[in-house]
Amino acid sequence: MSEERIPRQVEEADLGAHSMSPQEAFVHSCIDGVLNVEDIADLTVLEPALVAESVERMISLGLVEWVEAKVSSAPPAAQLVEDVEIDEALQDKILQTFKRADRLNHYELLGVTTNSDRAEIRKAYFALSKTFHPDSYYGKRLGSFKAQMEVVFRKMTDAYEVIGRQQKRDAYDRYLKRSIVVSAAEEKISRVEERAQAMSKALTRAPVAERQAEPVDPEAPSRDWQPSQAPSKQSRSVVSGSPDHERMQRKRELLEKRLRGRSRRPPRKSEPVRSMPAPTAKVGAKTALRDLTRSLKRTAGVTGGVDRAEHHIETARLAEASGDLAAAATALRMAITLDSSRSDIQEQYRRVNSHLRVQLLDIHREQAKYEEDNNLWAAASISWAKVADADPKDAIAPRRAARALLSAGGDLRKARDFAQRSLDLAPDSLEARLLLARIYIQAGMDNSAAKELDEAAKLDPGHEMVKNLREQLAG
Amino acid sequence: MERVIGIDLGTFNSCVAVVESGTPVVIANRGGYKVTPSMVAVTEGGKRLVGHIAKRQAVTNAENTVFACKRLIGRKWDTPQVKNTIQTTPFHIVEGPHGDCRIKMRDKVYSIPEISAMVLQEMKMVAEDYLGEEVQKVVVTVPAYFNDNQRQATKDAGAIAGLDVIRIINEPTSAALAYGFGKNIDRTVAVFDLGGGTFDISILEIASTGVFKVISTAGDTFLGGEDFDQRVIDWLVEGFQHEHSIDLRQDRMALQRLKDAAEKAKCELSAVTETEVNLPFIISSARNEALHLQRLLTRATLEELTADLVDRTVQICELTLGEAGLNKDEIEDIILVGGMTRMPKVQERVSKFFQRDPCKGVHPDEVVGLGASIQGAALVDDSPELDMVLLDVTPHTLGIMVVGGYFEELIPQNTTVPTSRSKPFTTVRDNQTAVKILVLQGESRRAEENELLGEFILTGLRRAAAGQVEVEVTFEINADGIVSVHAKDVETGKEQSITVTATSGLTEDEINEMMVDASDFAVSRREDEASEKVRQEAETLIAEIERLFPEVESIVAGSDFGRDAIDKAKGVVDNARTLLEHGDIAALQDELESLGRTQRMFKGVVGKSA
Ligand SMILES: Nc1ncnc2c1ncn2[C@@H]1O[C@H](COP(=O)(O)OP(=O)(O)OP(=O)(O)O)[C@@H](O)[C@H]1O
Ligand SMILES: [Mg+2]
Repeated sequence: MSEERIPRQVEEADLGAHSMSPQEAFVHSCIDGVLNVEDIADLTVLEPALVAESVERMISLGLVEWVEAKVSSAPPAAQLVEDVEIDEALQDKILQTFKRADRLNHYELLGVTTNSDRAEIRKAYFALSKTFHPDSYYGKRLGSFKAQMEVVFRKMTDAYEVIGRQQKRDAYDRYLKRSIVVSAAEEKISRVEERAQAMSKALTRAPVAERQAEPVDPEAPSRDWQPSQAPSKQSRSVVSGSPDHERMQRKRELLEKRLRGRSRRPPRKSEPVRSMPAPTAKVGAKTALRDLTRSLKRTAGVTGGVDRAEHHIETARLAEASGDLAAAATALRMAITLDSSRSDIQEQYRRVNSHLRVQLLDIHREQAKYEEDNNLWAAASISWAKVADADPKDAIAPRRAARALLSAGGDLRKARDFAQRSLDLAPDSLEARLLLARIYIQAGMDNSAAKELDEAAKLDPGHEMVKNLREQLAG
Repeated sequence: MERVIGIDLGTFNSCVAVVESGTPVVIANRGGYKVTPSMVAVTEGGKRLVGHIAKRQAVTNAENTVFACKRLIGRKWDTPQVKNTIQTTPFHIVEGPHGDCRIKMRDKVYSIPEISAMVLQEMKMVAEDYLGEEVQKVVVTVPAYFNDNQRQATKDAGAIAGLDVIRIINEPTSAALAYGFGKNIDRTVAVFDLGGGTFDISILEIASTGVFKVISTAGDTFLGGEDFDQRVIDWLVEGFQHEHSIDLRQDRMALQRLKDAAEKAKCELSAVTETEVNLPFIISSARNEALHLQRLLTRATLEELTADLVDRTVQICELTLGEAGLNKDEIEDIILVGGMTRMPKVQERVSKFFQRDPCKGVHPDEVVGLGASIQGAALVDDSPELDMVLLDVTPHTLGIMVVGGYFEELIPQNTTVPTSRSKPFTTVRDNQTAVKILVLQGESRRAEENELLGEFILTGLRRAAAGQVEVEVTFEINADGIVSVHAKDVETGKEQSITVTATSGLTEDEINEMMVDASDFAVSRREDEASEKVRQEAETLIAEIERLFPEVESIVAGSDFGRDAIDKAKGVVDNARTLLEHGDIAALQDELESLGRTQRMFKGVVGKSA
């Protein structure tokens, strides 16, 4: 699974201090921290590989950085120096492992790979045990490190107990794989709307002919500008007057305008053109423009002027064929953004999306079951809640969500709502009644609990737990 | 570095070991035995006897001789096991103030930890005699399947004995430690420990890096040699009843003799195929004629009588293996521990079950004590050959009682210790200031069927509306397998105080009181030993003088000087005798010199004339 890579401008970077090619400058101007490399390619009609190349170079110059998928760990806060009898290297090791332990999967925590065999895993765990078991430092002053070591040791042991036993490992591997699929899919889904919006915005900044389908704000600044330099007859491979041709032309114009000194970055607004000190830029805007034109020509030559929407549809087709519905749905959504006139794309998008939902639902169910089996109640409550939210007719999911919340010691109000929802869907479910009663008892709402138990007793007067709970409430 | 000894506090026998220059050794007691019977007696004169000396007088002092008290430690009065034991023991078991069991000997009531403390103290002294220095720190072993109450009570016993119990470890784990020590092996092993009172099975991974990890453990703390003996006793008693219509169990002395005979026969049958139980004058009939018990017991009969007990051990093995998630063929060695594993049938069944012959070269009586000493040394000693870590598990599921009398699991069995688990508790009423938590251990869904460890009451909660106060309670199991509970207010982060009620354990005051008692005994025992020496020396001298007396008299009676000397010698001996009778050891000590002089003089007279 390739990770989505989103560039972002480095706020404090000094653009003027580096030489950039017009293409890089162009790409730089499109970087907003939301659009990914693909999107920028769509926007610039440059090959994604070229965009990536430009981005990489700008990263090496310190002008751009990748947006981290997950928030990276903050630099270690200055530690209070504790008077303990273990050396600093060990202290550091304990502290770092303790901090990271929660974010690591079982393999990462033990410092092995998913391909490591049992002997390797065992060796790794045993070596770590000696470092992290408090007995290794018996009689020594460990201060707060003792508690940290115990936590780390416990987590490592949990990890070993799972991936050190083939059966459990197989189940865990499946779980892990599904987790990766799910989080990647969810990440994609959660990002796609944002990307689509950013894309629309960027496109309206540079409106092109084929975007009539989108409402175009007549007041948009993009409307106002006029090409200040007549475009030379450029690409031979792009037929003059074709949508591609027009798009490219407008972009070039856009770039030209920017090269003339209107940096998008507010602090540099007043700075003159020389703030784009590409070797070419030094010679002047004209040369820069010529370079750009050349590069655009090259691009067009490569892409052959392929419609980017079409490109996304193709991507979607391939993704769907390989089973990656999230990628397919995402591609289609972007295609819609690029060409909202085509109802067939929208139709496809709806279809793929509903498949994706079903698929995710199934995965969440599987995940929830694994979590239940392994007493991961908090995680199970989240998974079941997702299932319940996605499938409002399912009576079981909300019940299981409620049960997981109860077991996890989670939010009882939420648990009550879920249990109630399950009961509404299946009023004759003894289990749901009982669960609701138990939640009420846990919350100290004895009267409500008693009411539910009365109902439950009607369903099955001989039920042991119902009897016990009623007795206890009465007594 | 302080020395740490390891004590295997057995139901039947105890054993003490120490690591000396890197090698673990078992320490023999004064009698030269490497194991000491875990027996305690109080004589008519109020003297306390421990070990072999207590065992020797058991038949004549059955009511005041306690054995196998480990079967009662940490147990509640009101349990079938205790009821069962009361039926079959010659000494008096009574109910204690905490619903616990106590033992009455000669009008004094002792807690079980107190009795165990006496055994521990004896073992401590065995070690001290050998090492020639005082010992404080000790690692004590317990059956792996012991619950928290039993572990806690064992720790209390250590405290009463004036020992610093630095760690409690499980017997099978300890055995594995001794087995793997210095071997540099990577192996998965099973330890099958069938002792006098308890049965344990543990599956472990041993790593050449010195890590010993228990994968799973199970057992029965009420299954051991005692039960085998009981089957033989029942068989003998029933046969006798059939013949003479007399129930021998009603007579405490007969019962004690039966016990000894049954155990002896059982042990013999490990070597031979039949043996005769012969107990002359076991009881008198209604018509006052002496009756004898005489019966032939074959190995086959013994095996038949105890078949279900052996079956049970194998069932538990199966269970544990399942828990470990391992196949039989993944077990690379079997370690047999405990005296009962000498029984051929037991060996046969174990070999058959694991499809492999058990390891030879492990001494079943000593290996547990040795392991304990290794663990002790490994903890305090930083040298590389003792660089090892023991990763043990908790044998029982820890949980709390929830509404409806159900048991909610918090820490499942076979979780590696130390471990902990936090759980939020919320107030359910306005201005609620206390929350009660019942902590239990066991595998049953119903709380009442599990072992109650204690009632913890969180007190002094903030006054607030219902549901506003959330307390995070942390349940912790330490490396000893002992449970503790802490709580803190989630919002304020304030530690919440916890009161423990309803445990069967001893209070701190009680422990302190008993501690004084035991150490008094330790001093008096030491004194006893010194005075015993004086007494013996005096007795020897007197006997010698008296033996020579007639001869000396006949030689020197003629002279005045001789008569004077003889009168003087008579006076010395008479005086010493009186002092001996009154037990005035200090004065006797002073008399030793004149006794010695007299004896030398007598010898001189006899020698010269010869
Ligand atoms: N040769 C033998 N054959 C059969 N049984 C024997 C033999 N030798 C000893 N035993 C039995 O072994 C038991 C004592 O074993 P051991 O000394 O290992 O127990 P323990 O360690 O005191 O008890 P536990 O470990 O259960 O607390 C007694 O029941 C004894 O009768
Ligand atoms: Mg034993």
